[in-house]
Amino acid sequence: MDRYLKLLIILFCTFFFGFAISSSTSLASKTENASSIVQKLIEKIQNIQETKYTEEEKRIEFLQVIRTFFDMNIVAKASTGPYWRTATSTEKKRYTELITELIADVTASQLGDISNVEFQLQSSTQKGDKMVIVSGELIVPNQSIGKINVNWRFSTPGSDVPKIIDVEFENISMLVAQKEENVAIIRKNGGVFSALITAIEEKLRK
Amino acid sequence: MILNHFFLTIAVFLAFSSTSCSSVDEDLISNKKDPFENTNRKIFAFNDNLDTVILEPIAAGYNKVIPSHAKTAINNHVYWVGLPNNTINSALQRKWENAAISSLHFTVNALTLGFVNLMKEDEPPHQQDFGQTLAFYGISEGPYVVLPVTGGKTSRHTIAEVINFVINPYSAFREDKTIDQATSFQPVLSTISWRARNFELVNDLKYNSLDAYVRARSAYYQNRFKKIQSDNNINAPSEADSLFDNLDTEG
Repeated sequence: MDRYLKLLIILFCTFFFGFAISSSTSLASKTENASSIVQKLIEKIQNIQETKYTEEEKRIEFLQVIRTFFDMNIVAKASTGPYWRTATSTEKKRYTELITELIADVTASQLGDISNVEFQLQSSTQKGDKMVIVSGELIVPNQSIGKINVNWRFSTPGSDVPKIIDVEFENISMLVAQKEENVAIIRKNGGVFSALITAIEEKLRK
Repeated sequence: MILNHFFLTIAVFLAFSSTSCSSVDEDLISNKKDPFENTNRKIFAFNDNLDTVILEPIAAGYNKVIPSHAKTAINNHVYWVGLPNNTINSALQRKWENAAISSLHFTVNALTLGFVNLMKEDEPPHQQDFGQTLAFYGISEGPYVVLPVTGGKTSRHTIAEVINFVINPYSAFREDKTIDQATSFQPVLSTISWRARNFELVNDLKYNSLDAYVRARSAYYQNRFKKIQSDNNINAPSEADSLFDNLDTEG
């Protein structure tokens, strides 16, 4: 009986410590993964900025970057708030394409001719089960702003590669701001989701 | 100085008198905190035009012409000028250490009128304004109002700005003509320096957003929330936290 009890205790300890170590390793790998993705993203942006692309080529490159590094399904859903449920599947698909293009265009226009953008990592922390926040400073040489505090919010579902779902500049969440704009446009048009699609299409044409 | 007080009073009066008579139908407002959205949007459009015609070109020129070390010196001076208010508000919020650091920075840098930061190596004091003081004493933030020239703020913050202006410690030197003229120029200098420092951010808001008014309001609230929360050691979830906490990832 004693032997069985000992065996049971050993099995319990093995299971408990094994679980504790594996979950802490998985948390650590999620945070490390997320911070290395930010560095990769910055390198990718630097490459684009240093290569002599035409405006259209640059736009396509940024579009590719957004599709690779961002979880656009979550971004699309979160940025339309309660109105996501009222949209048809065609509208959801169209909106997701348009918001991706809008983010790519805005990024290209914000960066302009700036090169040598650097990111200095300060921390990478787990937030709940499914999110990681990577914080640091974006160093923008030869610009009036100089340094910007940035938080990258990642979604880290299961074993999938972490993807960015929000970027905060100086504590201002781009996604929250975008959601408020979108909701204002939809409300102004009597709750019609397609009004938002029309507004983004018009913006992209300008 | 008297002229500045006069303009600020007129701006506050104009904003409050116009907002009080034109609140809009609840279905048409995009945010519960902004019941006077209709009027606020009109004043925002006026401010936007003013920025395009006057401030943006001046800030662009400032960034082009003024060498970076001179810009740093001007930023330092503008920051130094605000330190007495910072000290008063820190004390009113019983943040004694911050009040002491703030007055120490002011006293030491007074040797250079704040143009050179002699205490670069030391941690700077946290910035405290009268709006944060009112928040500290539990005064509610009130509706969002956009004032001509000065922009959009909560009513608590707007009233606080007026009080900040009225209790400006430099008003004690009103008898001295040179100091009076110099202090009259302060708001202009700090506005130009702020616009130049945030040139890309403000232009991004103006030219890249779907609705610049809503984006400006959102940016203001998010920034203000973070400032007041972190100063009072409150760890409430931000709007972004709530957005993702409530997000149903299915469908």
